[in-house]
Amino acid sequence: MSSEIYKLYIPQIIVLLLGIIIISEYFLAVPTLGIISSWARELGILVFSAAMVVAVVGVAIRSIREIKRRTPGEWYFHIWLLIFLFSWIITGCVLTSAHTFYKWLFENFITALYQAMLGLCVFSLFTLFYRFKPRLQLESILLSFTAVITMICGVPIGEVIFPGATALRKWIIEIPVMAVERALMIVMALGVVGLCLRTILGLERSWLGILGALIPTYRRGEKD
Amino acid sequence: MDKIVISWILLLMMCVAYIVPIGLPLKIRTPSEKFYKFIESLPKDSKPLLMSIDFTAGGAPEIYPSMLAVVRHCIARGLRIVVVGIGTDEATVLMHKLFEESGIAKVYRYGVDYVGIGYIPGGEMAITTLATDFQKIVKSDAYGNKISDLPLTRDIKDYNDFSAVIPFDTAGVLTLWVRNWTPLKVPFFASMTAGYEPTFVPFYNAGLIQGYLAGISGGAEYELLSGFRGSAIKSMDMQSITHLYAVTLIIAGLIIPYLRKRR
Repeated sequence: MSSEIYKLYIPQIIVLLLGIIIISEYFLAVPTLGIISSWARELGILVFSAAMVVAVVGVAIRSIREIKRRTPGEWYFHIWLLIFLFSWIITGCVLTSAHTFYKWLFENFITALYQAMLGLCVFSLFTLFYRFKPRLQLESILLSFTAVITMICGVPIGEVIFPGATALRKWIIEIPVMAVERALMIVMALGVVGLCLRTILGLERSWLGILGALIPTYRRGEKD
Repeated sequence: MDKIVISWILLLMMCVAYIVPIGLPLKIRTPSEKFYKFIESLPKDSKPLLMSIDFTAGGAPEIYPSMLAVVRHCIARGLRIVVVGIGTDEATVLMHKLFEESGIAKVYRYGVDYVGIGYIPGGEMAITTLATDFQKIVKSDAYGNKISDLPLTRDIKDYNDFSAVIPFDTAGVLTLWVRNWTPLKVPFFASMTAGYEPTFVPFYNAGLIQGYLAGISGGAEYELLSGFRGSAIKSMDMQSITHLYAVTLIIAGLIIPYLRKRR
């Protein structure tokens, strides 16, 4: 019972109180609420930073475990992961990010790998363009037509091939796309409000590692 | 057509377009023009601009040229800047690169005309606190100097002390900037990937964002307007040719199997 209080009720009470205070601060001009919510935001930033440290420790522990187990096809990658993880941390802490060596590591490892990964995706995408064979239905024809129009109208050559390409692209973005985007934004905003209220009121508990009311139902085998 | 042949043709076309540029005319779009005109209209002694590096090393080829052109333009106009990073921890290294390549240190005095704060953890909470209590969230810059000791930042209290906020984003935090800073009526400009442009057009049309640079073409437009030509203009021909190639592949992919069937 005591572990349930610590794991379940105390986090929910904290969320309830802070949630009500931060929402109230937006609508009520009470200085105390402002001070408390400012403190809560500062605390949030600290938790965010601490979470990054926890993530690094978690990754390190998992990697060490995998190396010890000699998981086939995986363990040697974890050695590389640990080498790079700690060399980055040590270089960053000792030399700082302004140091030439840190910048060299960044340019030649992170940037190169990141851009190579994205570059490879582009080559695969181009082969996909050729292999893309939609069935002759209205939706697929519209999809192909839109892809061609947006691709060709977004670059200078579009205007050379088809005068008025820029105006057509502007119309596509400002009329049909904007209508859909607005609808999506409103729906998403309503969803976020609903989710926040559920979290504050303790109805949404997945952030505590609890899948609401689904777990007991499945355990009893009633859903199946 | 074979996968390898398609890839080789693509590589060849990209190389040719980069080495032998065609110089296709570039049409300036209104959001880019508004962005440029705003920077051009700011007086020399105006409040500093808050820029945020929210792009990763992978997204840098699309956004970095825009940022470099904007920073160079600000330097030429004598505008003061404060650089932060919220979306990614790579911001600090990218900021050092930006300062080096823009040659800011040759013209400006550090701490007086420009300050590099670098990465600030905290996501949306950091963005909110930057607007309401700058001194509380930022204690020191990327070089370890105290913010309260630097002439440019010691008097910054909140959003009122900035001429405008300009996030450069690929990390997906631009929406957070929009929802926390636009209600404060601070001039808001942004740079985002071309794929994200439709998401921000409603904000632009509603007047919440006053101007933006979309993708590498936005960067090229800004380079052309400001006169600081860089890699964005160079890559525009490459983009034109590859897009044309993509369209040709889509059409060929549709027609060739149909013709084969008929035979």
